[in-house]
Amino acid sequence: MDFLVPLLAQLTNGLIIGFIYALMALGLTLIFGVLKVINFAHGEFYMLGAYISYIASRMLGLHPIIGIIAAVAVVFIIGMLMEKALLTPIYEDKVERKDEYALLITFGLSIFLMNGALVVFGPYQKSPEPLASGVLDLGVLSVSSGRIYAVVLAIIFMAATLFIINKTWLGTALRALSQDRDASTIMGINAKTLGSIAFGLGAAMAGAAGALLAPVFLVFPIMGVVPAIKSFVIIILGSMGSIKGAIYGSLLLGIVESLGVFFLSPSYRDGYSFLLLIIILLVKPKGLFGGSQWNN
Amino acid sequence: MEQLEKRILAVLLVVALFLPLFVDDYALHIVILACFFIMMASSWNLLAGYSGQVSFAHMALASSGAYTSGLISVHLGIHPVLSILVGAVVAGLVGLFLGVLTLRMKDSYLALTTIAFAEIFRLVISLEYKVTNGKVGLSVPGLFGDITSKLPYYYTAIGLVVLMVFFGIYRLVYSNFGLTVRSIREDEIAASAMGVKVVRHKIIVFTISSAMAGVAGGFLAHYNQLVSPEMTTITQMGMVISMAVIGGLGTFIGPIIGGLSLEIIAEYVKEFGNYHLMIFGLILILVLRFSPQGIAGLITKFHNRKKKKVSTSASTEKEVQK
Repeated sequence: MDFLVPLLAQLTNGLIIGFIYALMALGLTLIFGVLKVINFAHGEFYMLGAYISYIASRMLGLHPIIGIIAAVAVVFIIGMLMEKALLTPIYEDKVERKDEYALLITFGLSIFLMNGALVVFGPYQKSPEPLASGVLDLGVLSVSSGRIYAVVLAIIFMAATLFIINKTWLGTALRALSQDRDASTIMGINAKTLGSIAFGLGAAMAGAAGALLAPVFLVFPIMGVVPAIKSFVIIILGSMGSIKGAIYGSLLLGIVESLGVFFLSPSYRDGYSFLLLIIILLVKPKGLFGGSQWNN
Repeated sequence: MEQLEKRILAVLLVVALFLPLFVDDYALHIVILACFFIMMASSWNLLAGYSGQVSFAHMALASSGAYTSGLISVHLGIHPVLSILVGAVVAGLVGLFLGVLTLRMKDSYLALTTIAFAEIFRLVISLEYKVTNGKVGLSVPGLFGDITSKLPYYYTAIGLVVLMVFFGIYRLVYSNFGLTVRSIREDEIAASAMGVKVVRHKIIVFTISSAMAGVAGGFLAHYNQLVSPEMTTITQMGMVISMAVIGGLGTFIGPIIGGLSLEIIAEYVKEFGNYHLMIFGLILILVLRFSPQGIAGLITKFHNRKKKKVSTSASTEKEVQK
């Protein structure tokens, strides 16, 4: 029993973090599904979300929940604008090598935002108002209630996104776009506007994850790098563009990390994802959930 | 264009050879750093510009070469010249491993895996402080012992750039091999239909460019007499990518001009604060969006326009004579 309780605590932690990763990876997979673009600035949208919630809760003195909602809304708009400004040449056939262009321009955006934040906010770590303080006692183990709130909100955000994708007209259009851009354009779907919306939604999910985790991990300009890399690993793990894959992949990564922390070494927490990546690339390079069908 | 390229390079080289007569040590230091970045940007361009594979691990590979070389020279007492070569081999092998792992798949897999590798590599070297001395950095012997003068380093840096970039990459790019590699970038399916072994060529290019990064990293380590994880950050990688892209992706001369000019700009902007990377990020986006050929593209355009003007005026003269 002495052995089991800390293991259980680690696993709970892993699952909690896994749900937040899932929110982020879902955003990445959404963008990839619709636009066939990997957003290398994903971590910076996460960072922006965290800073916006910090500004709202600490500087303007608003309730943390309002801070999170503001983060989601603002990052959504920023994401849409960025897509309009930077990614439109891809569909207008103005660039020769689309993959390369998308890779490099989102990476450039990431460098710009990261160093922009460094200039504006400085390199110092900041901490927004936590959602709740205190500890929740669950019998054998106890979890800080701030984290519980974060997970509950993350699940609500994810459920909302899944609802939009699966049940609304917008979601149907997005799924159609992900399957065949040209055919859906012929059917009267406005691919440009919906592309921007998809990018905005994906970015907003990263922003939400950032706002949710900000009180736990603190806010600083390069905070987005590690979570972004984890969501890259997750979408390879769960097959690029697969929504189911992104969610299960995140939970799997959370659990693997907590097991690694428990059995191997806690300081390498962020390293286990890479180990997992190597294994998946060697054994099942297409990921755990097969092809790139988006609606599974 | 090739003639123009050669002329610009010759001018740069002559200026570089006589520069130490006129400037102080600080300026030489900047040029040495610029040489490092020219090697990095050019070898990254060999990968991304010519074969179309975007890697984010170039700095990490350079740093793997630097750490290998540093550790060997510290513990085994081997002269840095030899240990840098060993470092290059190790960097090449790491590149080979990453290449074999990812290059069978689509391009984006390489980008995703290398960015993960770079961060994890940084994590490992910062944490294994018993071996690498952690974030403080490992002090390593200088390439020329304890000399304080920058001159020998300066000429070595210039020599390395000439050897690796002017001869090595130039030969490679304009050889049959280079042609094959460029055909892969243009159209992978068509190239493989013509009998090109696509994956094998990609892996070879990746290995060569990794080994080159290893040499550059090893040189920088034994010049600074320090290797630290700082070199491996994403922002440093952003610096290399900005240099190659702003200079002109897929052109031979672009990364050279980009590396030189951006390093000089960075040094002068640093006096006012840490703005240079933000500015470079912005220019990177603007260049990609509006002028994908970068500075090299602008030079060619300007050159061609001038030539056209000359030729049209010549033809009108002929008509007049008729």
